Amino acid sequence: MKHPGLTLALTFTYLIWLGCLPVGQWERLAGFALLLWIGMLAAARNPLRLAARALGVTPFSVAALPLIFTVPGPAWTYLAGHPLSQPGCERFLTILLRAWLGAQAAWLAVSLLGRPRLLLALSQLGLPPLLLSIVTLMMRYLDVLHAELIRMNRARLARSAGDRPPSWWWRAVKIGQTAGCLLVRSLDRGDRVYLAMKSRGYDGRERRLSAPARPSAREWLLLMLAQLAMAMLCRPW
Amino acid sequence: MVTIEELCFSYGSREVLRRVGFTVQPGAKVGLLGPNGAGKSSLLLHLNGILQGRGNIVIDGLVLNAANLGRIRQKVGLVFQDPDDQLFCPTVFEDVAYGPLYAGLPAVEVEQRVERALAAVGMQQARERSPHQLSGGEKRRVALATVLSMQPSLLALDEPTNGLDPRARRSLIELLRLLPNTMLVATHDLAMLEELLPEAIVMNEGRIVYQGTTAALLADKELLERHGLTA
Repeated sequence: MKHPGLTLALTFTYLIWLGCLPVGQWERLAGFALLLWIGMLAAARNPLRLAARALGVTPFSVAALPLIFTVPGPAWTYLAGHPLSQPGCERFLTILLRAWLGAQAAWLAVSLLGRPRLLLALSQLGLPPLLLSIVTLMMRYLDVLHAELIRMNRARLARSAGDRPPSWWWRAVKIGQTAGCLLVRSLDRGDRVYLAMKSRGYDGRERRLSAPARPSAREWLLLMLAQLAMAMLCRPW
Repeated sequence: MVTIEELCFSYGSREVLRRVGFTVQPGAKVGLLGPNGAGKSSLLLHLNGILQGRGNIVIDGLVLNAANLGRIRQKVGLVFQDPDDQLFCPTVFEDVAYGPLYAGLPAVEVEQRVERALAAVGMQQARERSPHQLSGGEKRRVALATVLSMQPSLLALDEPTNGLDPRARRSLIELLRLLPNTMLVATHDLAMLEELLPEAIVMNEGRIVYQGTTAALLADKELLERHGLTA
């Protein structure tokens, strides 16, 4: 699929359908995984690589870990004398797998679109121009801010010459100061960027060079077939 | 031609421009020198109405006022000191197209202008790249292209060689030498001044303290030292 808007729409709908999938439906989850990996292969992306990369989201699923102790139901097994509830384990595992598959879908969309086309996709999906401008500038300046943060951190480290490692409190204070300093510098930069925009004629309205290309009939058909397949996987019977 | 008369400007109670006045002839390349805080950057920001002080500014016969602001911004290409301030779009192409697009030009002409501007600075191959992937020297070139695409009659450059390595600096100076535009270049780089800019204006504490040829300025060691231009 080449059309940026439809690619992003397919990713969003995949995430929504995946979120609608009932707990513990392992075959259907496998069906979602299969659909995604077929998509990756069709787009000439390596499923193993994206699957490994998406493992990065698993630590965030730890927030769902208490479910294995708190959801009422029969004990599946015992951990240090504490019962692990079977429905709780199923819910936790479902959340973990959904997060993993969702992250793979997001990585696939990002790898297919890249930053400039991702912004175009958002505009094709009807994101308001003001929000689009904010997202555009945010994406552009994240790298600049990151580089600034690295420079500030290096400058701090270069002057951290104590014999013992600093206490956590000292570190927390320094991190807070660095964040405050970065905020002030960002505001300063924002001001200068606005001046640069004004000097080239910016008048507060969003302007784009050309109307985006329309998706082909084949791309629409692919989107519809994917929706049908996902709806079948999520059916209640 | 650029004419500035009796220009005064203050940030709150701090006066940064005090009765500044000078004329730049069409095609002239003029260096604007002075210690930090002399008012150079503030003066450049006045040239296309970003800052508005008291006094008169006339660019190519157009008086700088609210009615002429759009046309003046097309005539004055302002290149900021830090290219990361100047390059705010996701791709080089969009950044270079930004000025022509806001001038209301048709898409075909915008495309042509972008091609010409990128060719003029030798950066055609970077068209679809993101500005953050460029080196310092490449960013400077693209920053210059963002204003060349507006086909300005005056280029106002704020410390263009700042932070460049010798090769990138040399290449930028060669590029600026080839451009036919009138130039007003704020700089501390005396070697570039001697090589590229035959005329010079020196500012200190918001006032013009010297206006004349670069050769005469560089020969006057006492003047250079007095205004913090040499160590």
